[in-house]
Amino acid sequence: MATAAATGDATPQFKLILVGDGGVGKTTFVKRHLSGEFQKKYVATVGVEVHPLSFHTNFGPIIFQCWDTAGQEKFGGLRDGYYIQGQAAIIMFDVTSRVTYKNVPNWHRDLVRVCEAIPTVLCGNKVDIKDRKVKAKAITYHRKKNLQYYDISAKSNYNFEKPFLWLARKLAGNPQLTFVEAPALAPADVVIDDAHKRQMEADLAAAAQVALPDEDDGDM
Amino acid sequence: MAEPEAAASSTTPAAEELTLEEESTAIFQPVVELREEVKTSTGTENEESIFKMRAKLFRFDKEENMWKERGTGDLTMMRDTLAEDAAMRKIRLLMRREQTLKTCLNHFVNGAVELTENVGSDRSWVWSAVDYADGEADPCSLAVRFANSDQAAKFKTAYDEARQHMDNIADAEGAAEEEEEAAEADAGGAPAADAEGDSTAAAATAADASATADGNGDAAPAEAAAASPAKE
Repeated sequence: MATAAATGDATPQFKLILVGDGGVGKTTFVKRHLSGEFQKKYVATVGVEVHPLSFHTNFGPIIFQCWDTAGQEKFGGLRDGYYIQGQAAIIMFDVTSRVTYKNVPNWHRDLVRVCEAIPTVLCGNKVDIKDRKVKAKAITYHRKKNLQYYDISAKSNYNFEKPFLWLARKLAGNPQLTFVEAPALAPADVVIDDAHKRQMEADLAAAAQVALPDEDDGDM
Repeated sequence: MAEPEAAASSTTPAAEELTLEEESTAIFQPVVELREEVKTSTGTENEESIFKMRAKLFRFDKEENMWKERGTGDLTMMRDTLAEDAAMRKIRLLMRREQTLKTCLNHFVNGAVELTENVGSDRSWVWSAVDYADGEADPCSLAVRFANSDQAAKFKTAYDEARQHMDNIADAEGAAEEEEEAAEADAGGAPAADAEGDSTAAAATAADASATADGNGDAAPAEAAAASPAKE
């Protein structure tokens, strides 16, 4: 095991495997962390997309290399290459879809076959939806396998940082680890020439005519 | 300085029945050992918060012609505390996402940019900016939505004050630059050539004109060119 000192100044990086049935919200969850966006439209992930997710902690910055895998490949199973050298995992299901919870043991079996015991969080997503099908007391798999469990909502951000925080604490061997404010470097003084100014004003005028999403939500 | 709300409450889920949070007892060999606390600069050590209100931020995606969320958290206006002259203390808009505390908005208030209304909302404002939340210049259209129209109105008032302040700073900086240019022009010849310093007289005059000598070389060439016809 390497200590932080032994690895020099390099930011610690961890390979994180994100699995679960198609449509449970894996990609939406990752995008939420990357850009803040909440993507409603379902576009099935093909193969795998790897995204670096960085966090600032009271023990320095860390990066999860997040392997967002295609849930719809469950019929064929993911190739071992996706799992190899995985150091942490999130298994996600959708609390409004019982079948996605039923498939959790399959995803977990595939994961431990390659990775053995790595810190793993089971996440029940979409808890913001009123019509919850997988009730809290029905969620027991994590106890049998000693996984961490969180209800989450990529839509409302409920607990959306918790899986990463728990994994970071395990990977760093430090239960005191918390997220801290990311440095906000001084922005540049911007001089905009007239052509760009006109373009930006035109863009804004167009944007102002498009309504913001979920205006009716009591989202604040 | 505002305390970071690391444990900020997340939006309440609608589901009546939530799963009790319990800690797994599994033990793992750490991959790295992070034992020493690291003090991360917030970047705002020399600034004071002059406005703070919880809001939801959006960025316009031109390709998809739709607004996309950037984050929910406290929208703040941070004012520099270092400039000796209070009139010259710059103000930036800064926002971090709750829970992860990542930056999702970071740019100086632009004296020339007004807030405008967004169709169908009385609690939102839109404006354009070159934003630096991700560290690189991002020219974009932004929107912010508050809990209600009262809060939106409060932000507008605070923003307009900040905008006036930043406009004054821009005027003051513009005037200083003009003085330098005038000093160069007085020394004779084309300003562009003088800026290179081939005329010692011009260099001396320019230095006299302004204490910030490095402002000379940095003066935007476009502006110098635009200003020169007036002097001919």
